[in-house]
Amino acid sequence: MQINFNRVYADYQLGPIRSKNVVDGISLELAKNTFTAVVGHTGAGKSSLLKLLNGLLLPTDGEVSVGDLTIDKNGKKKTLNKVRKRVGMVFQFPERQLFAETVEQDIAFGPKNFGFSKEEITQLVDQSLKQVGLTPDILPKSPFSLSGGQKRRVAIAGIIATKPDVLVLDEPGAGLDPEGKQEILAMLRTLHDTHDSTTILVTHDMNDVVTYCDNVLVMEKGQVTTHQTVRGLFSNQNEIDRLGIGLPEPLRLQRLIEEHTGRVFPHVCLTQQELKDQLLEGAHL
Amino acid sequence: MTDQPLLSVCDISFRYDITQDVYALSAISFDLNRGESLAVIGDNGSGKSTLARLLTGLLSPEKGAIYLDGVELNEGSKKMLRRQMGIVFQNPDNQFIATSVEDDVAFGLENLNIPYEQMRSRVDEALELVDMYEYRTKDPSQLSGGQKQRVALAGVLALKPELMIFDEAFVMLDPMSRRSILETLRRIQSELNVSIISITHDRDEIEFFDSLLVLNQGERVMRGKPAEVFKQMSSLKPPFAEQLRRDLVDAGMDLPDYYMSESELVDTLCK
Repeated sequence: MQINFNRVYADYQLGPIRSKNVVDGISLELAKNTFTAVVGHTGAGKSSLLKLLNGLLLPTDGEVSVGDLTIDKNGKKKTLNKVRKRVGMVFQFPERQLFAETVEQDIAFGPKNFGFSKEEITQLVDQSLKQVGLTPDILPKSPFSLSGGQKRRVAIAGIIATKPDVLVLDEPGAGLDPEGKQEILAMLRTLHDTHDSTTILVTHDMNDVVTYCDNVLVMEKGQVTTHQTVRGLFSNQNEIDRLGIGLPEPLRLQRLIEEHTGRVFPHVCLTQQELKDQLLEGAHL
Repeated sequence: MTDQPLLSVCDISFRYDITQDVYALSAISFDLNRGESLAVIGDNGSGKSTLARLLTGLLSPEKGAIYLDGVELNEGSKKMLRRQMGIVFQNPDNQFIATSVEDDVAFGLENLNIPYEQMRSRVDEALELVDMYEYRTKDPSQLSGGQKQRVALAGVLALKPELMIFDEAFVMLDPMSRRSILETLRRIQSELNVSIISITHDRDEIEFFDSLLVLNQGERVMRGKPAEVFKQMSSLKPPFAEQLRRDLVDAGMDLPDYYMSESELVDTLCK
C-alpha cells in the first residue's frame, strides 16, 4: 500500500503552550512493498512520523494518505478506524502491552476488536504464531511467564494477526541479545517478502539498516533530510558526514583500512560478506 | 590496602521468589582491581541486571557477600559505600530530576554537601569531559538520546567515584556517539584510575574493556581477556572484526589464527 505525506506539519498541544512543529513540513512518498528504515537522532521526529501514519497524531496542516484513505487535521473517526486497521503499529518494547491471561487471548485481542469472525480469529492466531516462529504449545501459557524474546514475538504476533497492509515498527530489536534481535529482524523481513506488505522500521543500528532495509529516510529537526536507497546513501561519504549519521560496521572497518593504506577500495562494502570478498580480492593491498 | 581488589564479589546467590528454586544468580564470584574495566555479557535472562542491582545494594544477596574496598556491602554500610560508586541505567530519562543540565549534574554533589566553588568546577569539568559544556543551561528533556546519556554520565563523573557501573547505558546511542563515549570512558579510566563495569549486549563494545565476565542463566561461564574468552567459547558471537577475521581465515587468507581486536586486524591487513 502506498503512503504519501503532503506538506505535513504536526505538533503536540500541551495546555496553552504549543511545542514548535515536531514534524515540520514533510512531503514524502513510500512506494508499495518497500522496506524503509527511518533513522535520525532522538527528538528528530521519527516517532511522531510513525504516529501520523495511523492517526495517533493528527497533522495541523497537510495530509497523510495511506492507499485511498486520507488523514487531515479534522481526522474523521470513520477514516481513522479504517486507517488503523490498515496500519499495524509495533511500538518500542511492545511486550509491555501484553495484558491477557493467555497468549492466545492476547494475540486474538486485535482481530476481535476489528470484527473478525470466531473461525477467522482462530485461523489468524495460528497463522501469526507460526509467522513469528512460535509453536502452538505456547498458546495456553501466560504471556508473563515467557522470556523477553518470546514476549516480543507474541506482541508482534498480536499486531500481524490484524492483517495490516502496512507494518510500522519502532526499534523492534531494542533490548534483546544479538541472536534474538537478528532472529526478530530476519523474521520481519521474511514476513515482508512473503506478504507484499509495506514496512517501516525505526532503528539506531546502521547494521540493521544495511542488512534488512531497501530504502532509508533520515530525519532531523522534524524534517526529512534525505530519502534514498540504502546503498545510494552509504556510497556517498560527503552526504553521510553532512547528515551526521554513523556507518555500518563493515563500512567503518573499510574506511579504517583505507585511511591506513591511503588506497580506496573499488566498492563500498555494506555487509560482512562484501568486505570479506573485497579483502580476498586484495582491495587493501 | 591498595593491593587488594577494589571490588570483591564472593559466592553470591540471589532469587526473586524465595518460594521457588529458581536462582537469578547462583554462586557468582569475581574480583575487580582499581583502574580495571570489566564488561559483563550474557543473553537475556542471564542475570546481568540482577548483578548490577546487587552491586549497588538495591538488592541484597541471599548467600555470599560483596566487598568494596574491603568493607562488606550491607544495610549499614550501603550509604557510605555508595559514595564510592556511580551507576548509569539504561534509560537516562529515569534519572533526570533538574530543569537544567548543570543542575542535574550538580544534584549528586549537593547531596554530598560539597562546597559551592568546588561543585561549580566539578560540574564544568564533568560536562567538558563528555562534550556537553555548551548545553549546560538547556533543559535535559529537550536533549537527544545521546546527549541525555552524556549528561547522565557527567552526573556520575562529577562524583568522582572509584567504581562506575553502566547497565546497558549505551543502547540508545547511535554507533558514532557510542564509540566516542566509550573512548572518553577509557581515557577517564586510565587518567583517574577508576574501575568500570559495563553490562552490555553489544559485542562491539567489548574491545574497550580489559576483561569479560560471561554469564549464562545466572551462572558464571568464564572470566578472562576478550582474546581468551572468544578463543574458548566459539559459540559466543564475537565483535565484528573478529567475525571477519574468522571468515577470512576460513576462506583461506593467510592471517594468524587467534583473536584480534579491530586495530590489530587493521594493522595486520595493512602490513
